[in-house]
Amino acid sequence: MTDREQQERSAGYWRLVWRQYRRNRPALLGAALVLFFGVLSLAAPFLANDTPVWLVKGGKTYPLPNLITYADLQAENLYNNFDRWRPGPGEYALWPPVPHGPLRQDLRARLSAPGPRHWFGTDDRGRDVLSRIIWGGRISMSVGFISVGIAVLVGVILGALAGYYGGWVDAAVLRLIEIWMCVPSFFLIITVMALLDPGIMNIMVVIGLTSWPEVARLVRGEFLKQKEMDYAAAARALGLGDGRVIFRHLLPNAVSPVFVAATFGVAGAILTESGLSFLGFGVPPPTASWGEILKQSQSYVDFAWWLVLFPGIAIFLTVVAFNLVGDGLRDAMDPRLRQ
Amino acid sequence: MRAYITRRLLLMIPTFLGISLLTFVLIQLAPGSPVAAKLRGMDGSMKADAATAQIIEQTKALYGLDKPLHVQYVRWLGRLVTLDFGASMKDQRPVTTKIAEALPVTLQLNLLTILLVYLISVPLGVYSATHGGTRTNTALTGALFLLYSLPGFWVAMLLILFLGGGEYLNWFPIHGLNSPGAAALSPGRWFLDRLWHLAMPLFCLTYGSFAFLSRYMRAGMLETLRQDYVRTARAYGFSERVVVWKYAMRNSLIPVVTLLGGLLPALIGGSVIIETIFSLPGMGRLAFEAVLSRDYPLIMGNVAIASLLTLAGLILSDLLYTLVDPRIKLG
Amino acid sequence: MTQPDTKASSDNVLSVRGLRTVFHTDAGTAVAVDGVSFDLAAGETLALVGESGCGKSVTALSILRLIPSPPGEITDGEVLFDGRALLGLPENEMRRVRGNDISMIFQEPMTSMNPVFRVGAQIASVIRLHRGLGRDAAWAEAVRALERVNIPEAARRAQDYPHQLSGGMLQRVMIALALACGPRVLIADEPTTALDVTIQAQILSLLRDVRRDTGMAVLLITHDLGVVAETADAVAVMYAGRIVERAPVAELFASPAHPYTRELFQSLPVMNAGAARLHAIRGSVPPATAYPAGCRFHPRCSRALPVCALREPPAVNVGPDHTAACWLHCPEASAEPTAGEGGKGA
Repeated sequence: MTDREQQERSAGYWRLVWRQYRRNRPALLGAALVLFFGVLSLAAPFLANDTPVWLVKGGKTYPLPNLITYADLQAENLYNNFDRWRPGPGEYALWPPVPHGPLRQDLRARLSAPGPRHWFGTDDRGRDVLSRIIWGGRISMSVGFISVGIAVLVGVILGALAGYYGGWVDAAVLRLIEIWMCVPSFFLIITVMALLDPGIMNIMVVIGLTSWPEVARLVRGEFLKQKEMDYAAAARALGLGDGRVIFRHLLPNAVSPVFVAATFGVAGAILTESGLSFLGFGVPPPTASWGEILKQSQSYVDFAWWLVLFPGIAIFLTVVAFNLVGDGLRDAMDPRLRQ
Repeated sequence: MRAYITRRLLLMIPTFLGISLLTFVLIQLAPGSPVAAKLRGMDGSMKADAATAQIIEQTKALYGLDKPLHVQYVRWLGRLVTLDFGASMKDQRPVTTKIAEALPVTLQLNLLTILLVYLISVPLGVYSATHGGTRTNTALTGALFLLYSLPGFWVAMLLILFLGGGEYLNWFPIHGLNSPGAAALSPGRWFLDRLWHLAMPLFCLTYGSFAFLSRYMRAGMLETLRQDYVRTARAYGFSERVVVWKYAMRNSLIPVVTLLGGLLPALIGGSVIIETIFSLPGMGRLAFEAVLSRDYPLIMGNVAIASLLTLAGLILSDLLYTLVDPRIKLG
Repeated sequence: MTQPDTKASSDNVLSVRGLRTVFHTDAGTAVAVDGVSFDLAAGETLALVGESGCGKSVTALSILRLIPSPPGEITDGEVLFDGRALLGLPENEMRRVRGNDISMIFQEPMTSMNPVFRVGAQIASVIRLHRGLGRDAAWAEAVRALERVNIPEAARRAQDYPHQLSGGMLQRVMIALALACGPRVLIADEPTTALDVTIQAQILSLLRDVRRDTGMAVLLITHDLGVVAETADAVAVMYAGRIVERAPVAELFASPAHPYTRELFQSLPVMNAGAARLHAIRGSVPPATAYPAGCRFHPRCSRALPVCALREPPAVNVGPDHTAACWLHCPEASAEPTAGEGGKGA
């Protein structure tokens, strides 16, 4: 099969998968939720910010002050005090729906219950909880995707090599997988996080590097199967180099289970990240993170129910969404369920 | 079969060496290590402050961090083989002793967890496979799915909030393994007291796995029921109940049993979060406290021993698998 | 409507009358077996022949009521075993028939036995179920059953797991299993298709011996006319859910009456025929959800008459004990298509 035919074959496959996926209502709901959270995370600077999105002041128009730092506004020390500024005649500010930044403290309003000013209440520094949840979503989503991305990258490469070459390469990779399985991963993560600087990059890398074995195992299994198929022999007989055969021909057919595993992996990574933050090993304060809000809430658990409920629901809904998509993908890709 | 066992045992060696290397990397991240200093950058961080000069010196001495890398490695390898990890920096007690105290607690907790999970999930999975499509089944699957997605520590918090005293109900204790003064109770009552204390942590540890394992069991059972030999059993007059529970069960259990091997790391490493929340003195909480206080001997000992025990467990479960599947045993 | 055979029913250990089995699928209702009738006399071997998908296996499974019930359903007909109606039996009584009075062996011996139980144990469990023997007695019986099918070192083989035995051996084991409770009827669904030719011969010869020793009747399902020639006493040819021809084996081979049967014979590759192209029946088997009107074979038949597209032909006598459902053998078919009800029985 030529490379182009190979690609066309793959495109048709995905159309088939999508058609099957579409019939699954919960899976569609999951996909919608994932999309929703994704958009929410991406648009956070526009959704929850203590800086307006559009400003007309003193005759000048400042587009996107939430993203851009304007020297003159900065000079007036407005960037941390926009909520105190009132527009004069001819002046206008367009505020995001949640007019509070995740870091903006308001000690007079600390630990206030949900109300008209703070829809999800405030935490013990007076920071708006809804805003922190929206921005915390950014952390969760990025950790989720990037750590899984790392895991998939490492896992696919090692799994493909193991499955394709067999022999001692396979034995070596299997040993690596076994080694990774033996070392308790969560413990390893908190140890590394304690020893290194805390920071979102480190979290992503560490979570990614502890989750690659699952992916590698899947890819290896698929490669073992695909390797025996006729088209693989044909490609080799044509004299195509190993790299080409692995990446252009075998890999596209081997990756289906990886998508499913990756989706579940994102859910797992989000849970891990919130667990880490809950224990104090996640992103350092004052960055907002769902787990961190829950950690804080422990001190006020008797009455500050909003600090317990909302971040928990956020984690729950996101994980449900990814699990639904993962389930949906798995069913959609299962050849036996196809009509 | 014997060849299989010997091969498996021999393969343990490279894994052991790999574990030693991986853990060695961890040592290099400790303060006092030149590698760590480079990684951390010049400004250091709050972590560097916590590591006072004394700790740095102690760690250096313990692991020979000023010596060349290969010398350090050999030293570490020696430690692994002799299981000598020094004394905990916090209270100077030998690390192995502290671990020996914490391990039984974790094992207890996790063995009970596995037992409960299998006891509930297997019948649930079989029921789900044989009663597909009914409303109860759909509701059950849905409920389990939602449970599976709940973050464990959040559930723990809610349980403590609502059932653990305070403003609402006070059904379960939330600290420790037994009530104070439990030593004076009769064995029966002591046991009940222990169970009462473990109730909430056990729930937190098991609920997520119900969904996963029952789904696995269901898939396996459905797959088995599709097989030709099940049709043969029916063709020879066995009732559906016998076909499912006596015949198909044996086949469906095989993949589920092999899952046990994968559960081992969690079994021994313990759940850091749950043990910490409920103040259970197990491996997980030990690990957490070690990290908090930068107690490197304890940290390294914990990681090393947990890894080695898991390795042993993995080998055992592989051997168990051969007992269960005759195709491996004699094939 | 096919005419039922008029052999004396007291001779027949198994009688199937107008059996109709359907499957409800998303693509419509597939009528896999549509009004099939035949008789099996005690000690007789009847071969049920046809291409894949003609409904022969479904017929066999329907006799034992092994059709999976959500998609499948036996909607009509009668199955009489020794005069007893099977289709209406309560399930627990039907279970006593399966493996006990009527046994079935399947095409793939490698997958038809449970891989995690020893073969002796599998046979013994059936013996215990139907004959109520104790553990040891049942095991001894199982070993004896293996000896009867000429398995060497039966006592040791009984301890083996299925994967340790070859395909041929496993099929013998299956036969042993089938015979363990002394059934009056053995249904063999393509018993040799998955085996090597040499092993095929052994298994067929074993089946012949067994028949001779036990007087058991055999319903042999196959698509292989060679197997039919060697083993069967009578043959029923199936096409698209219906029986189109029935005759004693020699008679069928000598003078096949139905065009489909004739085409089947023509499709057999002949040795030393030179480089001539293989004959293939033109067209393809109609889907079970959409049979053609009239005679189901007519779109592929080279000798179709106008009436063939309009009405189904009745089964007509064309020779000694030989019926065929074809308008070509009905005298009035050459006349108007609208002439009266068809069917001159003998």
